[in-house]
Amino acid sequence: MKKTAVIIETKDGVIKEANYGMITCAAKDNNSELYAFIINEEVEPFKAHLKKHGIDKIVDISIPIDSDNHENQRSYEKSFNPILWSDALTQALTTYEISSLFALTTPIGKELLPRIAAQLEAPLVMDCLDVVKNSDNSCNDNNVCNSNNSSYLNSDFHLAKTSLYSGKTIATVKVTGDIRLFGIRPNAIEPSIKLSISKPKIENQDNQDQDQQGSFNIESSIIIEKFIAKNRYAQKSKIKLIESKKGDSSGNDLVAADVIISGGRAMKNSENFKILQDCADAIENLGVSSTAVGASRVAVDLGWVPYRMQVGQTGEKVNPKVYIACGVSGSIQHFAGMKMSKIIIAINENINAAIMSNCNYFVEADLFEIVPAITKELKR
Amino acid sequence: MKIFVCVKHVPDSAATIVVRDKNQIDDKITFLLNPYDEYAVTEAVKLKKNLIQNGASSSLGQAQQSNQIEIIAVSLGTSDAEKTVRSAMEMGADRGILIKTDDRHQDSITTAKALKAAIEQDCSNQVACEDQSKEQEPAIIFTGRESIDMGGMQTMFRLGAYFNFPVVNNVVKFAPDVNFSVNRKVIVETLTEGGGRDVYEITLPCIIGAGRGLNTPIYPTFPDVVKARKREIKILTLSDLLKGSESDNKGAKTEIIDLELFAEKRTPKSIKGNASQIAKEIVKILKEEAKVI
Repeated sequence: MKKTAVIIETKDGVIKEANYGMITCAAKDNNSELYAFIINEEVEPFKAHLKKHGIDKIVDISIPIDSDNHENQRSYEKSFNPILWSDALTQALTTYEISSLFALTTPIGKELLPRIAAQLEAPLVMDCLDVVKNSDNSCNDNNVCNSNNSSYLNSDFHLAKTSLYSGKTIATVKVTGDIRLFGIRPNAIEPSIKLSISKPKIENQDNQDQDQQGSFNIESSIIIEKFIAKNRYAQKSKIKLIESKKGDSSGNDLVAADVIISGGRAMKNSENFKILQDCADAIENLGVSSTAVGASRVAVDLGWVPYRMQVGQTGEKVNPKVYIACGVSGSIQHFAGMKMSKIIIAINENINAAIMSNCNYFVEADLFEIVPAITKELKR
Repeated sequence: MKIFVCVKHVPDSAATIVVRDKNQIDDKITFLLNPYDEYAVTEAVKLKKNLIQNGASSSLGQAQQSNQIEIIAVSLGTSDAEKTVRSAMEMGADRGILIKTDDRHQDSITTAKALKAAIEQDCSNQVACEDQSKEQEPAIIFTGRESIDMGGMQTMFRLGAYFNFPVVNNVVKFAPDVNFSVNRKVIVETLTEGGGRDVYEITLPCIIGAGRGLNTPIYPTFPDVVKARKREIKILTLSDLLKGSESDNKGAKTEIIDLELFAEKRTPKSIKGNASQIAKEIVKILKEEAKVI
């Protein structure tokens, strides 16, 4: 039996919501055993959720700080280190004979997947919107599967959908090779089961309830394997991670948010972004969706907000359910980052702004009146 | 010392893309130097200047040093990609190499192999390296963090694996170590989650993937453009470079078999009324249509 693995990303000891869509995608291949690779985390609390989404085995990976073999007094790397993690994953991949590997196209995934692909000389498609195995019938609606490509049907390959040319096209990429890697765009694939809302605290409670209800079955059916990687970089390496300055982890991930409220030039200054944050908080407080504040390039270039908030060609590519663009003109480069949004609501005083003719709803009004009114309405 | 910069000829992000022959794009549009590669070229030029200025204590004069630090722009693409190599030279690269291909698109495995072969070939050229015979390998290879057309985000890592050089991508700060002339180390910062930074100490040779904000890209002046016209671009062909190494990766490849325009079927509806009416309507959309609240 073929084996597929997913790299699970966690935050504060909780599985990030975006993982479930990726697992759903990887689990579509019924003829494959599904492994979850988790590095440096307590995996016990994850068992129920992972099992429900179709994970067969958890590989609990740890990386020793030193490369000596003193099994007993060994200490382990705790924080993310791209060099060590990618090497540990490569070792696990080989050990468990994994033939397809999935991870998220997040800052962490962008470090790990290409490093693993390069080490194994394996093909990799980043930022996939969907991935299907050729033997899978789920690609019926995909003309590639049943049109003039019958020769492909006899061989073993994956088809990955990804957006190319600044989001203007969707490509189907045929992937062949012994080991294949896929980076999945967060939020691009709907999870098979919506387990809970995105609030970590509530998810924990939810998790405990489920464990109490069905813990016996779950524990007997999911296998946990411990994997201690070799630290091949500890000594006199040509590359050393000497410091990790943590970013701001207080807000939600832009790429994983269900609702994004973005501000553009009409925001006028840094302070005004607070009204967008207030509105985002009001949505978040209703407890169903994760919400984040984004920005257009101009707001970043003028120094109003940090680069990590930028949506667009040279910023984040996002897939939210709702994108509310406040005073954003909607350049081609901005659309390159947000055109996959399900619903776009544009609020702009200028009816001639490009975004007003390429959205689902538009409001020709002053955002400084409308946004606080929405916040007020949400709090009612 | 040789500093290489890998550059890519990509469609202008504002160009209208038309799909042709199922998986190709109509190439009668504007192509230019990949925006992230502008940071790469600029950083290479900055490094060269920095090394020349700080090398004054060495026994060599500045002029001689200047000749010993060479920036070479390398690109893989169809013959029109020569324009992009020329752009890199206008920004300050000393010369260029174009690996000519027939197909516009090559996957990243092939691209990295070809870039490696071209860089190696250039470094084994005794004439160019005669001053320091031990420098048979590149000192630093700069790339952009990704190309805006394919967004593969991986070629620099593959190049690193083929050379066995360390790689860092999305670099937003780069500086030679204070003892660079002795230890050949550089200190770089990469952008991480939530705007965090990872700081690496790397021993040359290495590969640096330039991220946005690493520097302010050089805008060539007219004299720069004129000077660049006289500089050499060496043309190689992909098939010559990769002779004998095509089939050693067990069928591992990616191939674009279908390309469709991403259709935007949005028909904008206006929401009218006073602020409170509009707010009510938007909240209703969030609740009933989007189901996010």
